[in-house]
Amino acid sequence: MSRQLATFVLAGAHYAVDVVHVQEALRSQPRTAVPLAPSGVAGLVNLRGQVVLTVDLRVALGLPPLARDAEPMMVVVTVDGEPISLLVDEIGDVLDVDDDRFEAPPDTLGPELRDLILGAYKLDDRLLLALDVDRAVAA
Amino acid sequence: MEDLDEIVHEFLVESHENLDQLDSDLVALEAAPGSRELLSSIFRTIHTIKGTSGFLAFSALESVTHAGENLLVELRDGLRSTDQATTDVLLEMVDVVRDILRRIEAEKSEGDVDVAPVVARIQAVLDGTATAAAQPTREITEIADAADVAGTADIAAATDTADTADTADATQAPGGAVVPAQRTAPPATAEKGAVRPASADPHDEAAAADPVEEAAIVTPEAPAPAAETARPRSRTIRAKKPAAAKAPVASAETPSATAPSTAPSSTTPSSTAPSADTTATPAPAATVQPTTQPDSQTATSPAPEPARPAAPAAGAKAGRRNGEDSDTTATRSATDGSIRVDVELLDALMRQVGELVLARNAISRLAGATDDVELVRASQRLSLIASELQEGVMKTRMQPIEHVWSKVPRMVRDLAAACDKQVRLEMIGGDTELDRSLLEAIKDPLTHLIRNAVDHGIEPADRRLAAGKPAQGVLSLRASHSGGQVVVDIVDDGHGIDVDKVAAKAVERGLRTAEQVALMAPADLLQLLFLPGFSTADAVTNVSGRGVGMDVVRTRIEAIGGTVDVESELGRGTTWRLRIPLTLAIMPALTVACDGELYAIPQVSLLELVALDAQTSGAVEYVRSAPVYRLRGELLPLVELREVFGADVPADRAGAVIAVLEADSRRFGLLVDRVLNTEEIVVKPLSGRLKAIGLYAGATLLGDGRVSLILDIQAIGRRAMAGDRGEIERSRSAEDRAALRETVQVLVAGIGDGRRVAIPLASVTRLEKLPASLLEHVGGREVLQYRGSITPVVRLDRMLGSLTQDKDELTVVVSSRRGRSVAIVVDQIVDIVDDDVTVHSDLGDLGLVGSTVLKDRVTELLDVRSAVAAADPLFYADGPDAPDDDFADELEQLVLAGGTR
Repeated sequence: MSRQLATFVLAGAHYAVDVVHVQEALRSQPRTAVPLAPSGVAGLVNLRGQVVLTVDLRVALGLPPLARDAEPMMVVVTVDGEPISLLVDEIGDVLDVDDDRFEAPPDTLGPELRDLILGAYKLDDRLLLALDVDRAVAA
Repeated sequence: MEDLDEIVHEFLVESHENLDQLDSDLVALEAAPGSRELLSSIFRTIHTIKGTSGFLAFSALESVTHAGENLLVELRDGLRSTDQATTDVLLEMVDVVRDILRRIEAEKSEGDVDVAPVVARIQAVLDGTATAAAQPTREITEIADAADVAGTADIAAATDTADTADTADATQAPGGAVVPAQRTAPPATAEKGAVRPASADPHDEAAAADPVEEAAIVTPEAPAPAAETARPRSRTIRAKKPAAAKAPVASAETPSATAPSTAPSSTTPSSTAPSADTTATPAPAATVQPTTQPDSQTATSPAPEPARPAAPAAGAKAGRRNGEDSDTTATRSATDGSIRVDVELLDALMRQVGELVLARNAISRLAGATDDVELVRASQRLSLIASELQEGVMKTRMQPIEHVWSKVPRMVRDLAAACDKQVRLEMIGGDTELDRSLLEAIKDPLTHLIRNAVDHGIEPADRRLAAGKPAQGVLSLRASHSGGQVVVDIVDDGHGIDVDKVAAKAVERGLRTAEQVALMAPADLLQLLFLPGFSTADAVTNVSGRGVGMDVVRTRIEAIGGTVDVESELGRGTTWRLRIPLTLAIMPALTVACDGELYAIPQVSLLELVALDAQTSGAVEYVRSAPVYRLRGELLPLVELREVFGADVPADRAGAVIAVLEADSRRFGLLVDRVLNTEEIVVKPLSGRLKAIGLYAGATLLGDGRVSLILDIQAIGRRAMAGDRGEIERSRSAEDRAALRETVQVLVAGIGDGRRVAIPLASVTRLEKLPASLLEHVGGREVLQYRGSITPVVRLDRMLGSLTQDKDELTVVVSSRRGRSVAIVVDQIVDIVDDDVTVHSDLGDLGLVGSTVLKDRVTELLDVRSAVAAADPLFYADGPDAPDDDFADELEQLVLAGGTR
């Protein structure tokens, strides 16, 4: 069995979500801040007339914020039927990956990340971290 | 099969509507037992359901309605009169019918609803007084008789071109005549539906429809045509789709249905072929009908005339319906142009209009920034059209609130019966329209409030009588449009809400401390009712008082952008007021800036805007840490939006704007950085993840495409007020009290010597002019015979040491309380004015509580209590602890409140 994964880059590491979750990928758009929102919430964007919540994955994954001049990209995923936009550094390719390349995360991974990272796909040249989208946006 | 489903669906929709009508009619009938009009309407409704259910082979439904119909026939023919038992059993029948319909809707079949008990009960009521007209001999002949009667009746009816309403009555009358015969066949024969209704109700379309089904067993192709003939009917009357498309099919196929069934009628007139016999009878009626019903709905709709003679079932049915419709719903026939539209389609339309409005906003913004005259003109036209379109689409979604109210009479009746109370229901403004999604949303809260009013508000008859009120309580529902909102009042004249009890309860539940409630004004105490987990009901009853209370009502109403308020006067009743926006989707809003972002404030909460410039920016003062602003002399508590959002607040607020808002019937000022403009905004749902913040009512897109959050004013107000309890609570509640009690209406009366006395209007029951000759004496006391009782008289002039000349006519101020009255004689009535409590002076004398200046004259404030007690020492004997009636007390408090300021 192989599956299609949409990949993206965050702080140099490659992450992946199942392509069925992904609605589209696009450049970042002006966001409206939401005061008092949970820290991971980066604001609201107007996606063709629809108000869509944006989640900064860097915050969710405990990474330092992106450099000020760098422009993040948006991966719009569907969670519980609701579109949610994820802020990522770069967008990668869609890859066909065999299921047998998958391995659970190492025991040494911190508990807060164990919740978000399902495991890793061992590609030839690098590791691809499988992100649990539902949990990542719930943070 | 799909066609059949559609027929069933239409039947369900129609029946549900009819049942709602039936509920109201039955309750109304109880009030007006003899009303032929109501009886006919009820009869027709049941009859329609029965007929259609027979046609669709819902036998349980048919047998229930059939039994009910038997009862109704007797009522209508005056063989019995309506009493509670009859109404109860009929309402029960309605419930069972509704139950079955629900099942049909859910499971596509009747399921196993046991109708026998209800049928038996109806039968019991019938047998109770009915002359047991068991005539076994008629059993054989009845069918033939019935058929004959029906035949003649139909023809007679059909020739009666003068009045279609009469047609229905005329055709039904013979049915009544046949009833005795029909009762000989007990409901046990229900499964022989095809035969029984035919014999019992020859004028019924079921008589025609069922035999067709019967025939279906013989000729397999018959059911389809039968179904087809029915289709044109439903199409033409409801006009959902053009009927013409279906019609040719019907006319082409129906002969096959009629042929097998009419053929035997000539050969077998005996009871061996009852179905054939009875099917023949509608035929003549049907053929005549097209000429007799030219004015009805079917005629104006594109219904094909040729289909009718060929389709006796459809024809008879349509004819009957016409008769029915023309009299019960004269208004409906006046709006024949109306169509049924899928609600989803309307929702989609509304969404698209919303998008159009946003696009319009964007274009107007662009046009405003250019000098292109053409573009500006085009954008203005677009703007105009979009507004009109928006209004039009909104109108299509409007429904009168009656739709929700239609169930209320039944509910109130049942509740009143369950609580053993007498309640009269008044409904005013049922034609007030609001968006149907909102209508749906207020249904439950409204039900809750009505239940509460009947269960807790209105007292039992004996207590009402003891309190000097009529035994029958009045519950009124009033709806009206006001300021772009719909206001729905639920008013009862019950015992009101005891704020002290509320306070005690709040303390007991740990919702507030004793110190807190001691400082709260009554209006604030009433607000406690809306706290979660609050219920003042002493006992949990079947009807209400289970702790799921007003907080749910408020949450629901606020979810649709509305508000709930309560006013209550102990002993007099309670008013719940719902304010509901006209529509959810699009609303006018004010856009404001705060900390670099734009926010929208719904216009409905906005009272005014106050700009703080460099000179007035110092006008923000502080009560300890709570900012306030003097708005026309009154302190307005301020909420700094930046602070709410946890942003830095600059020291200099020059240029800031105070948006004066109202939430929970309190005013507060929201300090924002800047106000931009007002805009029609389209409410977009907010992600569930942001709802927990509780400050936003939704999001919207502004003209430039930016997303903007819509502030939930109620939540912000509540949060700010609750967050800074302590000083702010203290200052605010004292302020509220003063604001609330600032003015009291008083009656100013002259008592001679140019002196004037003010009497709180609340203690004045009536003003009378009575001849002095009516004065009599009991011991040393002057009394009057007033309204059949001996009423003590107090002469204010003498009591307060003033001199007047005796006149032939006395000017009397009557004050009544719990059935006792006192007549206060004054020299003259001057005026009724608003008394500003704050300017009261405590300068007084015996019998006075102080003085004040009213209309430029020093006016003495009467101590009503001592004046009344002088005449009737027992007047207050039965409860000085009832502060509502204790006007002198109230006035005293007012004076004190005024004095301390």
